[in-house]
Amino acid sequence: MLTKRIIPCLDVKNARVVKGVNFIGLRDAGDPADLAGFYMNEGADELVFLDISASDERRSTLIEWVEAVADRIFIPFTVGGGISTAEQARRIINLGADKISINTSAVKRPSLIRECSSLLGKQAVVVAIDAKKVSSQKWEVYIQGGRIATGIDVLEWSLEAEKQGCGEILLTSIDRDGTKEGYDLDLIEKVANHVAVPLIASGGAGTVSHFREGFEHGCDAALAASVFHFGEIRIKDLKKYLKANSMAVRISDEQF
Amino acid sequence: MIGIIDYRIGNIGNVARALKYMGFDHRVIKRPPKDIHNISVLFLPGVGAFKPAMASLEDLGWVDFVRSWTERGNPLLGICLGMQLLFTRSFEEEECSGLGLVEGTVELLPFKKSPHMGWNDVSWSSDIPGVFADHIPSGSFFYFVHSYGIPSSREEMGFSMVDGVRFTSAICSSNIMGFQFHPERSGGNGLKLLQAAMKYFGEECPE
Repeated sequence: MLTKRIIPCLDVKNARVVKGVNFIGLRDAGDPADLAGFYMNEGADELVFLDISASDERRSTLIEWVEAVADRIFIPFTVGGGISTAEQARRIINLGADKISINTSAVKRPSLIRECSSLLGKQAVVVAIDAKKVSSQKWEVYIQGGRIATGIDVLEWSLEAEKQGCGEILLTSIDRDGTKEGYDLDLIEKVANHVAVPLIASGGAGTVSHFREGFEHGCDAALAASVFHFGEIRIKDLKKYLKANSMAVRISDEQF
Repeated sequence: MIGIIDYRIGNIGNVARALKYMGFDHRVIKRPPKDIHNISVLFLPGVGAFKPAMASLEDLGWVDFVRSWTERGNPLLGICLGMQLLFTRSFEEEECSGLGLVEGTVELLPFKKSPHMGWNDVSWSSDIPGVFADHIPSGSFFYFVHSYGIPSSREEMGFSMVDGVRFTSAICSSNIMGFQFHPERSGGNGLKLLQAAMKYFGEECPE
């Protein structure tokens, strides 16, 4: 049976993981490869890295850390941040990433999704959507890191992204992001029922039950950052909880 | 030495990384080699679409090479699209002949959500070689990403289920083996499986 995936998300700036990672026993809490190895051993099913460097710095630093992560882990990882051409996407895949994620540039030019998927296969193309609630059953797409409203409806955009050939949608609730109040379950349910590609839910996880609720509302994977980085939730404990609640998860005891 | 076929389809670096981690002597090969004496096992990786992959294999001269390689009983391991290419034909987009080393067809699998993406369990067939069953329990999890696949095969070594849809996720036919999932992306289970496969092929396993 296909299991529900747990995905820690790491922000990287100038080849360093930022936004607070606080672990005891980690050699270098800012090193993307060390952290990737740590999370693989914790039982993460995949990892997502978002490079938030300015574009000049990103160009010069991406090569070293993406390759170092690929050398360290034997689980899939996605790299996003500032990708605006299929050629840039190809370079990241060639460095060893399994998938790339695109957001703002895909909204501005939806054919970028098709260009990336014909070059790399749709399995390598994740479209990230930042959604903000505008009324009880309506969400609007935001771009530029959630700063700029587009007037585009989230359901329409997710369907268009699927049509253009993405392999997966990473859906973040701007309203819930950082609140630890739980995922936006209505949003998850609406998008999950609207598209046939796998859905990663993001934004708002604060407790183990939030993950369970997300999965119950139709997402295939659940992404979180701070609850993992600050050790508030251990992935091993989370998976035990999900399993005890009759959810299919992958339990692993590997150490590399 | 393990030869990894680079036919310009997808990223083959992670297969090489997994072999390197386990200490296997390996080399990425871009053209069919004239001297094959130092190659013991061939890997055929690949992601993406069937038809362009087959065209690329043909253009680079791999189709004839791989056919005569396996005819002489040499070991070949296909991963993901690389496994699908081993079969007779594919119905992805339009019909296209494969390498024809294993009888069967590649078809769109009727999953509710597609691609089938994530960790799924693989149940071994009862007649699986002992070297696999001894090291990797039936029901172990591996990482999958695919929409098309093999509905069934006489050479089935393992199968998986998605939403009640059963398909062949691993094959073994004496010197030809294939995995629909990505052992190089499947953590410790994947590495153990690659090790078992190399042992099955008589490749010396570094400690």
